[in-house]
Amino acid sequence: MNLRLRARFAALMLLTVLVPVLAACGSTPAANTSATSATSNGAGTAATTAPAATDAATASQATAAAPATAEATTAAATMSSETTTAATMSSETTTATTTTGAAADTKSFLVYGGSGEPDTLDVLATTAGTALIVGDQMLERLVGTVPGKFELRPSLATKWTPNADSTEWTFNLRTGVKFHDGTPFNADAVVFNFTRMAEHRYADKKVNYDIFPEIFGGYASDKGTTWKGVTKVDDNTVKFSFTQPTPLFPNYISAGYFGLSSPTAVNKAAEKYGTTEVGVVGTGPFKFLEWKAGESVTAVRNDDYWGPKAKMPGIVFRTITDQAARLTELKNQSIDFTVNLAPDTREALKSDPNLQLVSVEPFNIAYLAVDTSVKPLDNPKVRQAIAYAINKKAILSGFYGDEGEVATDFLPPSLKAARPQGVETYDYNVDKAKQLLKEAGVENGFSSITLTDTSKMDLDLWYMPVSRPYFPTPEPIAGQIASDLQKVGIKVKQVTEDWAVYLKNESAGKKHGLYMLGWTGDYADPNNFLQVHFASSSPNSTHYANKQVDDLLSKAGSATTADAANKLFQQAGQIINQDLPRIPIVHAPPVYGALKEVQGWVPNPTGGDDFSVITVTK
Amino acid sequence: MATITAPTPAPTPVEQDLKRPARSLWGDAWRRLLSSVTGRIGLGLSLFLILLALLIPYLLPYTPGTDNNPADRLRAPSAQHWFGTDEQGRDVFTRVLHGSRLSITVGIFSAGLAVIVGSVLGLVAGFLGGWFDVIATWIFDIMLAFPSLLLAIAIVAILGPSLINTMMAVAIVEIPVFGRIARSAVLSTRNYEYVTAATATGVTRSRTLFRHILPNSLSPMMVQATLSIATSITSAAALGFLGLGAPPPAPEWGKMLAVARDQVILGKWWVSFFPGMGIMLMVLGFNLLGDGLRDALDPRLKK
Repeated sequence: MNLRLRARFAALMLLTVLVPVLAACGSTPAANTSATSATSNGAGTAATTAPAATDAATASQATAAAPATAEATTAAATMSSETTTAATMSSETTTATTTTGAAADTKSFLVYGGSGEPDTLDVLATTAGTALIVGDQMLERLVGTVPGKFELRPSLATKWTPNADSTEWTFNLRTGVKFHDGTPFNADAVVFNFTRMAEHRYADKKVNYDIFPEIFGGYASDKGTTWKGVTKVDDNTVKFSFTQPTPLFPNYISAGYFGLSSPTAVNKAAEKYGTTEVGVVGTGPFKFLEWKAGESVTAVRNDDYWGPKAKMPGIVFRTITDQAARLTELKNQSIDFTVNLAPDTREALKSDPNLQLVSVEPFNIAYLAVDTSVKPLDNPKVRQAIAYAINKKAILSGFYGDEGEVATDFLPPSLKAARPQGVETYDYNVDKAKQLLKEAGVENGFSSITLTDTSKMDLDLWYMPVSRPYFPTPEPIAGQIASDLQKVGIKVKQVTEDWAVYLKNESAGKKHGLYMLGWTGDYADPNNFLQVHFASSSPNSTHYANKQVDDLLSKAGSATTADAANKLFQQAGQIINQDLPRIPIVHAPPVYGALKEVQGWVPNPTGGDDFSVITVTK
Repeated sequence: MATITAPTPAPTPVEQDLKRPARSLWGDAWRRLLSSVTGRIGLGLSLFLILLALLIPYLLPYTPGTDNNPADRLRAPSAQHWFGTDEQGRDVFTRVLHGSRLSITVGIFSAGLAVIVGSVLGLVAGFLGGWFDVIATWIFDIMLAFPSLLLAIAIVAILGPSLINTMMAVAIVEIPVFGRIARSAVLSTRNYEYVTAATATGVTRSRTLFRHILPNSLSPMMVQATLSIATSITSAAALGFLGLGAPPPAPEWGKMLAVARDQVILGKWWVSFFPGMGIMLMVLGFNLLGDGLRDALDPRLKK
């Protein structure tokens, strides 16, 4: 008896050890899921009273209208077996309901089905579209864009003017704007936020502002940065200065990454700012309410907003990674609108009387990246052979429902003017691929690669574990690419890993072999596609470095007229077309879906839609 | 000429019984297995599926990786594609049949490995007793305390997803089951007179264990092994479903189900129906066989 008891105890101990182990080895999607659910459970038990109230209300969303407090009471009762605890909890939730008001009443909130959990809500510190779309509803930028277009419009800045050679930009700020915490929005706040990025504050605590070096060539202290500084002229005017002409600066900061936060809130939370614990404090039409890890972020209407108030009292951003699950929830009307559905669902959306298909212009590129540091992939001929061997047309018709276009260049259709003319389009051609492989000395194809340290490994083909607008169904597309490559003798091993790990290894240049990824533009500037992927100063995952390309792109960035810039981009494009460190596959329109009742949703090609204008009758 | 031959008297039932050639324990069990409907169906189904898995490369050649045809994707079942085509335009019929090879391999290998390791541990633990027994029992209890699938997921997460690692994970999860069965079988067997007799005549301990105790503890383990093949197949399919099984393009049934999930909601039922049927039939076959074996090997049910 004693023995058995001890065995049980030991089992319990081992279980407590194993759960963190599971969490730690998040190298697989499943392991990661279980870890996340464990954390969210933990958060649930430790939750304070206000979240408990919303919890219950969210759960009861689908059910018929009932007093929110009653719902909360039942939820509290089921949560605890002890009646006394239940009693205290229910009384507490009642107070929570009365104090927070809207908090408990998420029934009338807009519900968004997001395709992935945000990594942070502090948009300065992320490049993930899944995070930007959430953060952007609470944090505002100096410059906004016209819904569905690339044109700029005033947001927190009312006017912006460059000096003669665009090395300095002066921004006039909107007056009378307050952050959600009541502190005023002014020049100090702007300087604070940009300096936080430029100085890479909290770098020791691992907060990275990746987009900053990607756009400006480095943090403020780095060599080669074009960033000089930001200064306060008066309370409502700031001046940005650069080491070289930066004519597109307003376009850069119209991207979702530049949402401004309350300095008071940032200073208080320090490196914890933007996380599940503290959320964000901005000036936007919605205010952060709570973030349940792995589940949802909730925001309520900002009734003191300077512009037109949000149409709905609040919004719930749910995380539903599985695209089929998103479609099911949409059909069940448990979410109001969602993104990144599979192209196969177009027909289903069109034919369902309760749903609508929301179309978006493709402003992205799906590509196959090649590690240019390993043999034999270091030979441009081999990369060209791979480009010829992939039947992109078949991929487009098979996996994108023939919507969108086969990519012959890295730049999407709306940036056509900067595409190089008369270059190789790499149309599907098995013979040509074989010919090129022969010229490269790997006539019979290959199935392994040799790294720079002369170690050998299998040729991997990495496919993403999640659906993104550019690759809505990565796995079967990977299967197609693998089978195309096998026809010219190149044998690949199809592999994947947890999404966060995938991205981390990618930017660390640890993805040897071939990997699938894509990019959605943030603003209408070819450098947002080219600089980010081909300049050796950007986090360089393909180990591609070409001095000529670097120079051309940098010059194009400081060119004062669009024509001059486009000429330089075209020259760079010609070199890239031959070097081919990333093989363009398709430009694909993402598939978004919404309930018929949802009105006013105009998705931006760049992904930073404004949710405050959306209405839905509930 | 009339020869009078004495009429041979009709043999009495008892005499008949005495005259019939002696049957071994296993022969007897075999006869009883075939006499029960459950056993017959189970044996037939399992043998059929095993034969199919062995012969399929000769009947229906398949080259995973180059049979994609995106122009022909998600076609409903037809004369050309009996089970339709999947999201990469591959013939589901071919993939399901070839998938049976993977499933059977995983099932038999995992169950086999678990039987060998588990029963040796259990036998030794039961026979030796003492601290070895205590520790082995503890380990079995600890392992059984885990939900088996969670343990398998943890093992694969550590080892990395591949077919071999799936088999290892599933086998490890099954080891304590066999360990306990073997141990309890030994505990009940080792006090029988023939064991005492063997020990008295100076037979070594290992010989006693493997010549006298093991064969007499074998029947519960055989039953469990058969049932284990079935559970291994479902576990492997579950791992495959979670993306922890054989990497694509291997025609793994669980993986096929996972990919097909996106299609079911759009009404493309065949992509998931046939791999699902495959898993069901195979598990049913081995479960029925296990049930039949249990009945056949249980001396108390002897007629």
